[in-house]
Amino acid sequence: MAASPDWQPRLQQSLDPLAEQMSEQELLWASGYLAGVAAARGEHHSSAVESIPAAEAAAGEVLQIWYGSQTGKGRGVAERLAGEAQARGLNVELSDLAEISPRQIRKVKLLTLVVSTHGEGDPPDDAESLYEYLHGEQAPKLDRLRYSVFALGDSSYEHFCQTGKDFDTVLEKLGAERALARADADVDFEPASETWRTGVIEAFAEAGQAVQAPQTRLSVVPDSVPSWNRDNPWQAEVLASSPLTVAPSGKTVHHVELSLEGSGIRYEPGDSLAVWPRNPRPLVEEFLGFLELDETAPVQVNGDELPARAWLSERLELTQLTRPFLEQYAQAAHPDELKALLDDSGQLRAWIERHQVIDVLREFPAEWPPDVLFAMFRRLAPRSYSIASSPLATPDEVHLTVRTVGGWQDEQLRAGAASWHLNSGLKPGEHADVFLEPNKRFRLPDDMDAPVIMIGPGTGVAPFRAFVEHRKALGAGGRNWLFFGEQHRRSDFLYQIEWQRHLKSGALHRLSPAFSRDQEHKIYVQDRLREQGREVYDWLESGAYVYVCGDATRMAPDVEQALLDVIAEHAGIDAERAAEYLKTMKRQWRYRKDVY
Amino acid sequence: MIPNRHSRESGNPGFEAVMYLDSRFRGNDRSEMCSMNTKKLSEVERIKQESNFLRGTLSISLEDPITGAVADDDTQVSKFHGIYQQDDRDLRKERRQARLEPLYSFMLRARIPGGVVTPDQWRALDRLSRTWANGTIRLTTRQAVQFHGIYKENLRPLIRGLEDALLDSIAACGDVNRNVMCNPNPASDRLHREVQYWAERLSEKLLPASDAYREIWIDPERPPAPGSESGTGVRQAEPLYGPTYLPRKFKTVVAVPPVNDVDLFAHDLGFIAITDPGSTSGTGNDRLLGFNVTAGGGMGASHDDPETHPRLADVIGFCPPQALPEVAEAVVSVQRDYGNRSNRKRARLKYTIEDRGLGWFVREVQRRLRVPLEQARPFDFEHTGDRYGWTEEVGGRRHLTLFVENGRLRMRQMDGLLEITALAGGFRITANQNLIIANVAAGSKEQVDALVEEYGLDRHLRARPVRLNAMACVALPTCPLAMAEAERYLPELVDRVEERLAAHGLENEAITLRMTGCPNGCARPYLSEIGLVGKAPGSYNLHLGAAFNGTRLNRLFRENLGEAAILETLDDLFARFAGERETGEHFGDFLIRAGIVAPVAEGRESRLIQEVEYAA
Repeated sequence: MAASPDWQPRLQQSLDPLAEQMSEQELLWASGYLAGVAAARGEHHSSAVESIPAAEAAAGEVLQIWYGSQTGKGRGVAERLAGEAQARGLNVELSDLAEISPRQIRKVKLLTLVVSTHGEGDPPDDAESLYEYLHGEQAPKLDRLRYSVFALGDSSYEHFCQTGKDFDTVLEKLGAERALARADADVDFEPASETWRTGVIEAFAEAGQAVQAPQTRLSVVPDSVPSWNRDNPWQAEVLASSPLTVAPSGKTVHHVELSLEGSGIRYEPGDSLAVWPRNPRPLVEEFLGFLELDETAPVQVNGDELPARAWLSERLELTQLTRPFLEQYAQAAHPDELKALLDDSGQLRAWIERHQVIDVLREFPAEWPPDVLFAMFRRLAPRSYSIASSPLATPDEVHLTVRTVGGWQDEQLRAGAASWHLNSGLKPGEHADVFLEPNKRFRLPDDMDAPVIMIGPGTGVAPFRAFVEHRKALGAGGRNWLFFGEQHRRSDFLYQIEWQRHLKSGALHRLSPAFSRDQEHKIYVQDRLREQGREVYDWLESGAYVYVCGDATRMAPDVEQALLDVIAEHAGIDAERAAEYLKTMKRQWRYRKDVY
Repeated sequence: MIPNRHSRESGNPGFEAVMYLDSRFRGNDRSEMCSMNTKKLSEVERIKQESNFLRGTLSISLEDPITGAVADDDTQVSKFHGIYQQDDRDLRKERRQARLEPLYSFMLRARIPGGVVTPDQWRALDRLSRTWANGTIRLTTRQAVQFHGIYKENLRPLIRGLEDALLDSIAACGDVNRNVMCNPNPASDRLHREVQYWAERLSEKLLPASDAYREIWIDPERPPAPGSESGTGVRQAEPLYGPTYLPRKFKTVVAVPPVNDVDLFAHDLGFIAITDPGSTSGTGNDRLLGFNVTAGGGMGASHDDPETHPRLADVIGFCPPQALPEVAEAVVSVQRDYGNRSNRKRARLKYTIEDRGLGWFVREVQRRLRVPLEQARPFDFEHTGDRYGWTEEVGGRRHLTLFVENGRLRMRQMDGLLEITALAGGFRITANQNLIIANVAAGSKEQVDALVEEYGLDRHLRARPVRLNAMACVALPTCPLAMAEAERYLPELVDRVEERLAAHGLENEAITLRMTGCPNGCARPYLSEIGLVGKAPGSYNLHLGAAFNGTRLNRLFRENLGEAAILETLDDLFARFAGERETGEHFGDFLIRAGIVAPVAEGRESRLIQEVEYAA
């Protein structure tokens, strides 16, 4: 490209005010859009853009970067890789798995795949079709393919990075050549991501080298790191954090209001907000006391030096136990006892849920130099919460619905770091470090008249508060039906008064609550779906969009089964055709999940 | 004379809509009717009219899963089924902040004429409270039993449980005749059986006839009976009340002199048992001659409405026992036809009588009777309290009257009573919110005494007279009308009053002391020697000077007093009482005689602070 042609300042002048109003995500989209337009013109009117080489002009193979993840982390890794590979002169194409057809893989020569794992080792929704295609009878031969997989997971779950492992294995089985060993990244994925990205670029550098300047389609990463991200979070003032549950509820759920004023962050209902936790102060004190550490004592971990308190409160994961940590721990202390625990995966899982890092230190005591111990800990990572507010209803604010995980046990605090931070640690006027995690998979339909069915038990109701507020603010004509579930109507009917008002004002058309413990036999949202199956089916037939948010392990599959049953029963079709019906809905974006 | 029920002739067409449904129940005094109906009917009248004989939308409200409340109109309709919607006011703020609706629950009042229950029924009441309510039982000033803290979904099972025990809550509240009261422990058992019989007859006679209660609570699946009001729209369901029932609540009592435990003069309709003077107390052979009839008593008033006030009933005549139901029906029908249906604050019978004159009222009642009322017979009341401890009747029947502070029975006391059911022939709830263990066999007395002691039911043996003569309504946190504490606070206030009495050597003096959280008068505060009526949290109006036997209202003495001021005021008066009283003179009578409080001749005076200078 010629240096500073004379049209450049003029164009820049027009673009700057526009760019100023755009969020990070919008900028990304716009750059991709313009590149796409250029590419399209290149195909048909190459003379008009002769100074910009079109993709077709490249001699090198295109490095496909495909990602599939529910939370946006995978996309982040993929986008970074795309940017860096491009900077190295590679010809890349970045795609969301949701947007490609599985059969496309047959023509790909260079592939990097970034995938996360959910629930019981399940692939994310977007990766499902590729997963099934590669594992099915129609699976292609892939002997021309070179690939590498980046697996995202959470080592506190039993099936850590399972989806990534499955893809890695099946690709090899189908004849593809592994160009670089798979990387399994934990919640604290950044270090692993960096290593892997560097490795990928080296491994594919030659084959993917563009003859001329690189060209990407759809999406590119701008040179500068966009503001307010994981590494540079927005410091959001806490406006309020107050309980939505009252005694004798077995849960503590808070409504948390954060300020976005001045951040320029723009979100849409359905997006998530990631929050950097701080470990609970009482827990940090307990660590310092137990380790007999002076809070100011400098500790060096992997080359970084910080005072002990800073490590414990801001840097290290103290509230989630993981299998790798226990494995490492067992190498140095109580190997037999811990091995017995590690060998019984069923028991281990339950044990990990009931214990925290400090409990391991207490139950399996050993002399640890702080730097050795700290090096074994996972780094503290942000947690995502589905946003519970509409920017139209409460501009400059973002609301979250946060359930406190754990709590005081006798005299000791055993709570989740982020939920404790938001619900009990922070006081109004203090700040939380946050950044936006857009979730395009979970957006209201563009059609304002389309009916919407929302299924959100527990804190899964959060995005639906946003949905209803948003549709109300937009004056959308479509009907809204909410299925909510909790244990008790009297003590944990989240946002009860608001729903009552929305019902009265007509913003919400139906509300079907399921309170599991208000009667002898337990009733869940899926039971309500079946009970009202006739009407649910009528709504589906009139084009309803179905959204599910909340627990991925049990609720989401149960709800899906209920939907299948409802479809089968009321359409008078068999299970297989009901599954097709739902699949069609999925393809039409009319069945969406935000489950965790 | 039978009431003239011809329908109204042509008149001002503007009144037709309002008149239509009531017209066939009205008398023939057209001018009266017209003037009354030019005023807009109160909102509750519309609700009753539209309720289709007490159905409203209750069946739908019960199924609504979004709220623990019933629909607004249904909160009025439910009262006719003995049910009040309430919420825990202590929790309102916390719940509002949590975006939760108030903690709605329901109070249900079982209808228990004369307060008489069998041991089996007591066991049922106990079990129902523990299973479906908050595990306490409250004995009311109308001898009924109240369950508190019943959640909406528990109403049906509780009511079905009552049904199984042959009890119900029909008309325990609402604009109808409520629980009929009757002295539960007169000197003679035979007399009790007689008066209790008539109390029950009255209760049945004045019960709404609508099938709504059964339909909503007991048997929602069963289709309405052919020809019933809900099935066919045939509006014959309420031959006495008509579709809009009474303008306001209506209370009926039966008293047996010389005890005025039921506070006879505080009720809309009263009957004073008149016995053969040759055979009074103790012989067991009292012969019931008939009843003096009283009408127009009532407690309720509003702080901000000078046109409202308590009023004592007037004695209007005498009737033989058999005429009782007919007399009751006549009085009720006069109130039905002439009571104020536009202003609920002035809708009780007492105002109908006050506004139209007692002479008019008696004539109107007489006109509706086949046999006119006779001249009232002489009677005398001694006190309004209960006969605590054991009373033994001729023939060996023994009853033990227990003191139940403010009528509230908690778990431990309930446990004790549950054991005692095996030894008792029955239980009786008194008008002073106490409980009688009735018909204990001679051989079981000691065992009962032991249980009573073990479970802390023996406070009547130790409590000072002022506590034994004290009463409070429920008030906070559940009563929606309460402006101040009552039941939760009175026990401590009594502690301090006792101290002041003791300081003047008056600790064994029986003085009636009653407290309510609002001016509506559930604990009948205007008939107590010391009455405290809530105005705001921690602030009460002090009323003084009622008669110990319930025959004279007290008078507003000081407004808006906090505890310190109440005690200081009483301390001065106790000092004078101790020094100046005549032998046997009661506190209220003393205050009148000494000129400290001017007697109340008419009800409306009771709310006026006297002009007399108090200092003398």
